[in-house]
Amino acid sequence: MKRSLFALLLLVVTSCSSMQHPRFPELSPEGKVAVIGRQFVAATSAAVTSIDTLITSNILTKEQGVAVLTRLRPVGTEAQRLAAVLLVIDEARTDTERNTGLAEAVALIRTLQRHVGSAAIPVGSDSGRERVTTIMGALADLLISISLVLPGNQEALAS
Amino acid sequence: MTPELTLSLALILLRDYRQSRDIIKAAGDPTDGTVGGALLEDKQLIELLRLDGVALTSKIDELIAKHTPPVTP
Repeated sequence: MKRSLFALLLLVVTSCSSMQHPRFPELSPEGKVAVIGRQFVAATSAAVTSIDTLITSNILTKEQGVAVLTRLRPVGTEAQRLAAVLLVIDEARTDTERNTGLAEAVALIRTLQRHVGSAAIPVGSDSGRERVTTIMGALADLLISISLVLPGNQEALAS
Repeated sequence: MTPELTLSLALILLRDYRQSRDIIKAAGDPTDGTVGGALLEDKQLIELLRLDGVALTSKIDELIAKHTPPVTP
């Protein structure tokens, strides 16, 4: 009986260990930066959708909404610049070239964050200004916190 | 702010948070480079980033055009 139980336990343990996912190889720094950049662009895209909702719901006026969208527009172009820099790094031949490119890539990510952070706009009335500042502040905080707090992002930027 | 407006704002922000979380999850994992369960190479991830940037710019341009009133001569 004890032997059967032991055999059963061994079988369960062996089955479980064989079901574990294979360990994926670590990404290179430029790959990590590309993923973080994608996450940031994705979060900005979600924010853009919500700004559209806010305009449609008459919580933001068209002018206010368009002003915020205009401030967010550089995120798309900066993301394309970031991709170009990452491609250069990927094809770099020396460590110096790689490190210079990576520093530029991280600086571009900081620029992306600044574009989102500066998207809060002043509007006419105090209550309107407070409302827009609250919404955009929450959105900007949300984007930045998601980008920075995600597990692995700090380490990825530091490595 | 009226309670209805506060509630609708809270719901919009909550929905956005959930959408952002899901979208970001789909954008990839910086520890292993998996996107949607598939393991991608650096070049593929970089190309996806470029395409994301192009798509975001188009999306914003479309929304700006949608919400900008037509200029009457």
